[in-house]
Amino acid sequence: MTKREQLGNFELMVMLALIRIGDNAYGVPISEELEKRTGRDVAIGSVYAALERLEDKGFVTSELGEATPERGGRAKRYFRVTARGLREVRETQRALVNLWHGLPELEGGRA
Amino acid sequence: MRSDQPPKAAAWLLRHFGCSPNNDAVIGDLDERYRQGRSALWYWRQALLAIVMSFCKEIWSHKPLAIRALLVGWMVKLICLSVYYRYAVEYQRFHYDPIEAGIFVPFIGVIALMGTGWIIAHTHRSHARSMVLLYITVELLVAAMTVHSMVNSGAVVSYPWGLSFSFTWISALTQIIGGIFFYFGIFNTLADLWISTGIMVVTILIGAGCFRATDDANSHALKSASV
Repeated sequence: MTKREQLGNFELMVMLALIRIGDNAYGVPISEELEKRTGRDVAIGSVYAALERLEDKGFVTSELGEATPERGGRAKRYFRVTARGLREVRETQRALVNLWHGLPELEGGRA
Repeated sequence: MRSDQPPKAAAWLLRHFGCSPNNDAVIGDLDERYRQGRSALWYWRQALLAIVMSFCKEIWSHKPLAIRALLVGWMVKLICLSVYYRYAVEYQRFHYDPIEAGIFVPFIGVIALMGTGWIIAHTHRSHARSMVLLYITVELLVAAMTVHSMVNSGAVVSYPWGLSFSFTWISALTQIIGGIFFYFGIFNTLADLWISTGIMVVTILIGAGCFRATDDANSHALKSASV
């Protein structure tokens, strides 16, 4: 069986945030989206570590954007999900749904 | 009143020790969120986490390079130590002069430490910061283990592969700093040790060029550079 690059838990969350944001996905909106959806404080350092791993796996591409004064003149780096990345998210979703299905302990929203 | 500028020390630390290939973008993002109303404490926490996470990620992603960086560092140190033992120790044995020897040993030590930092940085260009920081971390751990074993047993314990050699330079510097303190009537062995350890770390970082005012020393553009 060949080794397939897989998505970790946090990587999957970052991928979903990227898909949700679309074209304007750089560090600030990604971390805000994650904070809003998960209700937890997110370290920008961990978001970039995940994005770099995803880029190495070929699930994400990036390009430099414009610099703005509120960023101290530093350029943004925009990230976008690749077709391969999108396929991997679908695969992960299917696997998770299969695992979830038919578990009475997890039905009804109670722990 | 809250300043519009992010905490300078935290920004400086991140600029010089952030190991991410996207370090510039990370700093920009933190600045943007700080100006949106985040606190200075939040900025400090984010900056320190960004340094630690980028360091761990870089080392984990480039394990063979990390091993090579450590081997290169120890090789340079062994060469310098052979020079030290050949000239300094023999010189002390036959013509013992504590002042001259006291200058000679730290001088070789400073050259060795700067040279080690420089060589590690220049043999691992696109990952220079993370590799130099890894080398310093390992040296500090070994030095701490050596000091701990000395305090407990009263003698230096030899760690595998001659790692305890890292203690040599700290020991020489500590003796000199202790001598200066002694001259002014101060006795604080722990302070001597902390200061000499600090000198060791700063010397390696200077040699590696980590304090140079370049924002893009680890930039994304260098990602594809040869290693």
